[in-house]
Amino acid sequence: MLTQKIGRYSGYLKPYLYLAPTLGLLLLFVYYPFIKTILLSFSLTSPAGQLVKWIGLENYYSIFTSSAFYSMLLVTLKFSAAVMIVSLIVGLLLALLAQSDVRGSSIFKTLYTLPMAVSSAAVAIVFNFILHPMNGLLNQVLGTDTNWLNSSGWAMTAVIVITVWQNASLNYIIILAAIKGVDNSLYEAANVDGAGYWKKQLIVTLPSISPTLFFLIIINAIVSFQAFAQIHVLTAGGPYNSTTILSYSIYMDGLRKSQYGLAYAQSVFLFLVIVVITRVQFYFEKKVTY
Amino acid sequence: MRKQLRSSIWILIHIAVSLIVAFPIIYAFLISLMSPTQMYEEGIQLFANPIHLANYTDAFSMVPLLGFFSNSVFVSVMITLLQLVVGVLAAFAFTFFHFKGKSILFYLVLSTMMIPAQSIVLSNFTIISQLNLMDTYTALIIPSAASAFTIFNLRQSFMRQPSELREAAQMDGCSDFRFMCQIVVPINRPMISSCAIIGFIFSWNDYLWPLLVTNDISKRTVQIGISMMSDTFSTTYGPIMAAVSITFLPTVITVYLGQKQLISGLSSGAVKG
Repeated sequence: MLTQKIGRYSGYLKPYLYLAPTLGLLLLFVYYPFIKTILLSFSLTSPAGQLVKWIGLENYYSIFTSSAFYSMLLVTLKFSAAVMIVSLIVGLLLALLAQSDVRGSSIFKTLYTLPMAVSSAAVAIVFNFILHPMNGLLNQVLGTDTNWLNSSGWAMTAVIVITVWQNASLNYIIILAAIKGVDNSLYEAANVDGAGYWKKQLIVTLPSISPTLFFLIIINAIVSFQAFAQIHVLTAGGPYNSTTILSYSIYMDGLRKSQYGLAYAQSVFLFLVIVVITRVQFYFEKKVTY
Repeated sequence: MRKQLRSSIWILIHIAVSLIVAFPIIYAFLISLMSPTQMYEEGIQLFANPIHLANYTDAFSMVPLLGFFSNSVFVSVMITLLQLVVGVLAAFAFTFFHFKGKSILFYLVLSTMMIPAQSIVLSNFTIISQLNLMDTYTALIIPSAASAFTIFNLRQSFMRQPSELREAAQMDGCSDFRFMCQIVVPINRPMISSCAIIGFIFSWNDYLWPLLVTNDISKRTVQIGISMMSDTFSTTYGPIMAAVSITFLPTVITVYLGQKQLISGLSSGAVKG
């Protein structure tokens, strides 16, 4: 009788036991810090990041009235827009190229997936050398002696190039998988109509994979907001904050300047931006799906 | 004839594009073989002559590269294993059990994907330092031990199992735990290895978190180690590129061996079939 009862209770508990590690970890390292971030964004914090007193919206007031915040947002916007669009286009071109089944194309297909798998920090070190003002490869090829990373325009371009280089490869992988899923009879029908390679891509491939392309724009936006290592290694946000995007500004304000309150307010802002972007995606996806 | 010409044009395009795509990786490797004197010679230097392998031994003597490397191996292997164990348990529960709050809990797990790591990283850092876990493997490993991405992918894969399979196992008196270990896990090996590969690549390349929670050089991971090396010895490019090449190696090999699983894992949630 008793063992039956225990058996039944353990039956009730069993699913929760399987879930306990996941829930424990996510509560401790995602939900708790998330709530803590929101609460502390309304507070004055000590240099160690602990609560001193509640100050309401003051942190938000400080960031939204500082012109530095808006120029940082502009930098973030430029960076994200470039990464979003260029990595999608490059990824699409790579996927279309990989479609051409020539001999040995499997080696090339593997090569195109490499950039997403190597570390941003290591790649940034390589770029640092390529862009070296004295004997860097780029200056040697162009016959110039430009200090690329000292100019805000070129520093931004360099950070964008690294990010696009890595992220285009992720786009390539997902687009390639989407193309594989396209109904083959559509291509056969296009063949009957006498369509050539590029025409087939235009009238069959592109419309069929458009939901995936749209989804990728959102993913690219989120990835671009996470960029950190390449900025930290290559430019450290400079020159004159010209490569300081939102995620880097959170790091600088919090850990370098010990202004945790401002950093927490920006963290909440970053979260809200991602929520809005995802909402927009859901909205359009509903409209586009047929 | 025309067809042959066509395919050789395609191959030429492939070669040109892959040289551009792989250039930073190839270039790092080429420079890692070059002597300092050749590097400062006039003109563009691409191919080492003679090959200067001392860069590799120098890299290990200039910084504790072996220590960085083994820290990274230990940390990312542990993260990968934990993500799989924790993820299989959770995905199994979400697929095969019926219980109160199932959909809410699933939503709670999935919605963690909406919270960008950057927006909680400061709080996590203060939590780790309050718990006195700075400069520990625990700090490097445990916060990444549960991955919503892994749980979602595993659940998608588990759900493809016919329900007769579980009924048959139950009729034979097979316990849930045994059913999970001896039937579900082996059947879903493709998706499990996809998740392992993705988990390993991302934890190997992680930069921000190890930068925050390690100060002690003996606990640094290789990503932080090589960027400090390039800050400190900014002119000795040979050894730096040797260290960079070594850092590339584990994930490059992983992609080479597991390309199929990598692609299917990354695209399973993204492409509607």
